[in-house]
Amino acid sequence: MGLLLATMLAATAALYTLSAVAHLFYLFRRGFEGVARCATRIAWGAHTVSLVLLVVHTGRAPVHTHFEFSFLLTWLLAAGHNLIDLFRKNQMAGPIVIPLVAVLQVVGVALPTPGIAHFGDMQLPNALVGWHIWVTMLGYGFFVASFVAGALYLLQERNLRVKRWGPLYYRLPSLEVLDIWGGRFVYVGFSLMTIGLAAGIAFAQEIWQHLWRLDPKVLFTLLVWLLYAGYLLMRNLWGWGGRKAAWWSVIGTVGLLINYLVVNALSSLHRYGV
Amino acid sequence: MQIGMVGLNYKTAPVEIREVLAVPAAELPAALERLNGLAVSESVLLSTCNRTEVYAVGQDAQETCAELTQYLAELGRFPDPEGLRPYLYQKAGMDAVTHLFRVACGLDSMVIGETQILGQVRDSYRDSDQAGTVGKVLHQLFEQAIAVGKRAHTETRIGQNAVSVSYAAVELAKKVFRSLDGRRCMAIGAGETAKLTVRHLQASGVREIIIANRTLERARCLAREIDGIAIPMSELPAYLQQVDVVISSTGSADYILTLPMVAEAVRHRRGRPIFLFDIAVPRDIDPQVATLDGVFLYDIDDLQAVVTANLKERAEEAKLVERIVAEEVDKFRTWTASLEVVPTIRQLRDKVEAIRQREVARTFNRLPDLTDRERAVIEAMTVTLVNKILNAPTQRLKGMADQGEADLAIETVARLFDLPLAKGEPLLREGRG
Repeated sequence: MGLLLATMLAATAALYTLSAVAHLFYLFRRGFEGVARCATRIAWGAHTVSLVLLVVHTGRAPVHTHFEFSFLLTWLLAAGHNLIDLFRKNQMAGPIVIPLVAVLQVVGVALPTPGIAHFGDMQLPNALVGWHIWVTMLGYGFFVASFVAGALYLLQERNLRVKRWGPLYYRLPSLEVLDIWGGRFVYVGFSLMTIGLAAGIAFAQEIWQHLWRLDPKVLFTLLVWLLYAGYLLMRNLWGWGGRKAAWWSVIGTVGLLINYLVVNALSSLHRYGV
Repeated sequence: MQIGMVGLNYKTAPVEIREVLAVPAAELPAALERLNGLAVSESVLLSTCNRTEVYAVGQDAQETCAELTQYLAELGRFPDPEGLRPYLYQKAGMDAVTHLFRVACGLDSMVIGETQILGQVRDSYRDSDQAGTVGKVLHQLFEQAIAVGKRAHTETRIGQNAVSVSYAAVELAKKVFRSLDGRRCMAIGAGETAKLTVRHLQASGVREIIIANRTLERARCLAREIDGIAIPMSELPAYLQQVDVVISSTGSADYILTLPMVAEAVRHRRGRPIFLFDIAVPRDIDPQVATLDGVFLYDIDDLQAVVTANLKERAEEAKLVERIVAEEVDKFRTWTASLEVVPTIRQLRDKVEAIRQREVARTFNRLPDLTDRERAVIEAMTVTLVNKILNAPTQRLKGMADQGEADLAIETVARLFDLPLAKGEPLLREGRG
């Protein structure tokens, strides 16, 4: 079981890497759509099987280690991409989403599993921890979606400016549509993140009797939260959008990823397994 | 029986020849009347400004094509068919089928992937059908050709992306704006391309058109024609900030839209993008304007480049369409092959059905006490039995016919079941002619 799981995990990461390369080629020239689509679907299939194996193997929801969390998050992202491809016959989100998924996967597989988060041992309100984790993860998903919309906006805007008529030019919706969807994704992501943070604060209140501890992750998250709050404020109050908004959502998600990949390791509270 | 076709198109014949053979609507009934008199069993005449083609089904491909050539020569009032021959191409069997399918998809058109031809194929099929020249084979062929054309346009993007400069401008604007509904547009100067572009924009939902011209009278004239608002050149800067799309096509030697002018307008637009199309030579808009945030500036060369790229894109899609055509030709081949064994299948079914009915009647006579329900159940059982037994031989017959073994199949079945040898028309047995 352990060996099978390890093989499947490695295979999934390898397939996503292949799919990411195909998608990046597709950005510049035609003829790679089929390979990219097939590789992504097979990778996602392997991903789904691995996820089931992982849950059966560990006997718990796959959010107890940093790797498990990444594995589930990337599964959600790839699922979103596949759904758009299936229903809208458009795989243009792929060149942005799939490389990100591949990187998260490879990082997850390559890094030694640090250990298991210890919140499982606490006899305290687990429901709050659940809310904190699951809702925040969904929020992350929506933020990444806004990142994709923003990055595609910037690429398409550049195409229109430098007059380059590649595959991307033909397949993307209008800049306005990308802008609107980017805004919607941030709106949903922000709402979910706020609920997730509130749950985290409530949980901290119950066990440590104060709202939060001075923790790098908590501080950095607050920063990201403020960044997105600023985005929504500007958008709604000043009718702000377009290129600046696209950059803002790209920067926001980069901050989110730094928070997730780097700051986590510095945190005493949010580090998995001590 | 063979399908044959003879025709000419823009590639094989110069316009002097094409215009003689293009059948105007008024002369169509007479042309179809004459078609009806040909020594072929079915025929369809397809005539557009870029091509004139006749499709027919006859006993022999060679004879059919000769007959059609003669017909075209008469249609164009050529004293000698030989004079027309250098401009003609002729195809028989599956080559003719492939040709028609490619034509219907727009693969053979001057502008690849255009959709007009599909309507023309449909119309000529309908007209010939009404004239009574279409039979079973051409009916199937043209119905399928129309379906292939539709399939090509829904499954690939061969008909998408503008192939004219004026439409390319509209398409570019749609890459920025979600929709053009209710947008404002300004035309500076009143050239033909500008007018065409404005019409395309109107068709896409642009409601307010502002026309600026050096002579206000001409602007007013055009404004009346296309339902716009005329303004003098001096008011141009004030209107610039209100419009989303500008098309400039004046004969001015200097820039009409300068950098400060556009910069001012953009400042008032607070980040909302503005599209500038400069289709004038010499140019009307300072190229420096393109450096401003939110300004998309395209000159005539850029638009040409889009059209070129679009045509390349269509050529890429054409590869996919060729695949669809090949698939459909295969389907048609299977259909024609099954024609040969259809009489045998029918005989086989008739014979077995007769046996079934006889035996059921006999059984019911022997069992007079059966209730209606019991009778129905027994009857249904025999029907199912017969169908299940005959299913495999029917499929095999069609399959063997598809593989060119119709003769063997028919003979075997006839011997095994003691049927008279009956063979359908060996339509298009050999694909090449």
